[in-house]
Amino acid sequence: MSINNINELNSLHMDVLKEIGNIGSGNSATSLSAFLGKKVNIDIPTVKMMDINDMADHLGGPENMVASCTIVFNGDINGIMLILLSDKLVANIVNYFFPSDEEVNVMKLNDMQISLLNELSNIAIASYINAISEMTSLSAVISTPSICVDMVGAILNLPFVSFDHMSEKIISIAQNFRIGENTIDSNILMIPDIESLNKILNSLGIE
Amino acid sequence: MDIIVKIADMKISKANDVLITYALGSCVGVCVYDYSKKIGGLSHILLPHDSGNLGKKDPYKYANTAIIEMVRQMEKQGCSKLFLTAKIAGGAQMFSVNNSHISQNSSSPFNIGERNIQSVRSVLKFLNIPIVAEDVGGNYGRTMKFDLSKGLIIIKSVGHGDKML
Repeated sequence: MSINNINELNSLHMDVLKEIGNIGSGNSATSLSAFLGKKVNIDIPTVKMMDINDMADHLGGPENMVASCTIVFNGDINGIMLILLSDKLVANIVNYFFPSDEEVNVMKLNDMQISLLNELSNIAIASYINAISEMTSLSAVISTPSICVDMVGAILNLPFVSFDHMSEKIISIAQNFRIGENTIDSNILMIPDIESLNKILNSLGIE
Repeated sequence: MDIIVKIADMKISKANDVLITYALGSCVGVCVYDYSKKIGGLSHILLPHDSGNLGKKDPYKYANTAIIEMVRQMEKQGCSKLFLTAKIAGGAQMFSVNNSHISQNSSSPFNIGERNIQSVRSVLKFLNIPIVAEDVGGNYGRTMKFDLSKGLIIIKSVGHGDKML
């Protein structure tokens, strides 16, 4: 049996997706921690089925400023991953790698700073996808990351125009991770298309 | 009174209300205004066309169905097509992609902003409604405030200043 519409997902499906998020983000956190030389904590993941308006509200309101890094993955499974970092966290990370007296202007990052964020996102997402690949034996190739610092509502346009336009909701597997002592929440969203969702569930023996 | 227009939604009101829609990315905000009656509509569209018959279920999601339905309802409220003018904003490409396979593919989600703009233009042309002002394209989000007492629009963005249309 396969699902045609994400509204058909039941609580067992949701639990499996949560576990996938957990394993993926756990791997991301380990890689990030090695890269940053700091402790990275993760919370219990949440699996959300939301329409775009609810998701924007959930992420702090449509006009909330975030730095986002997007990666498209293709192969046996297809979808989009978004990392959403608060502007404060971006400033922190940049300062940590390139200490300077000048305040970091998140709206006007220079090439080095963008490159740093790209690399960080690349590491986080690649290790996430790797974990899922290993678990499900489904492979995927990830694109190069693309950074955008803007209102979260505008950033969310992308996942909502990306897949079949049949359902107004998308499924996102979201995880908060906290870096260092300062507890600044960030979100990592994994948004598979419906076909990939079926493949992931089937590969794990879920009917 | 401020009236919020959500994504893939549409609202019509009259002076002295203000129609607001937040954070247009690749979406396009379409304002249609009747100067004589001071009635205006704001539509926040997400996609260029309804494929199949999806527009029946979600008319305000797609440029073609949303604008036609908005104008139909405005005419129902006494607006005349002769007095209607349009102002549009949005249609940005939020993420730049290096991979040419992704960025140049005509059905890629990354350049949907451009296709939204084209679709909005052609629907307005079909309805004979002139576009008198616009702030489209670029790579940044916009918030649109449509003051129905004067038909003026303020575009707010992060880091790209404010504009009046």
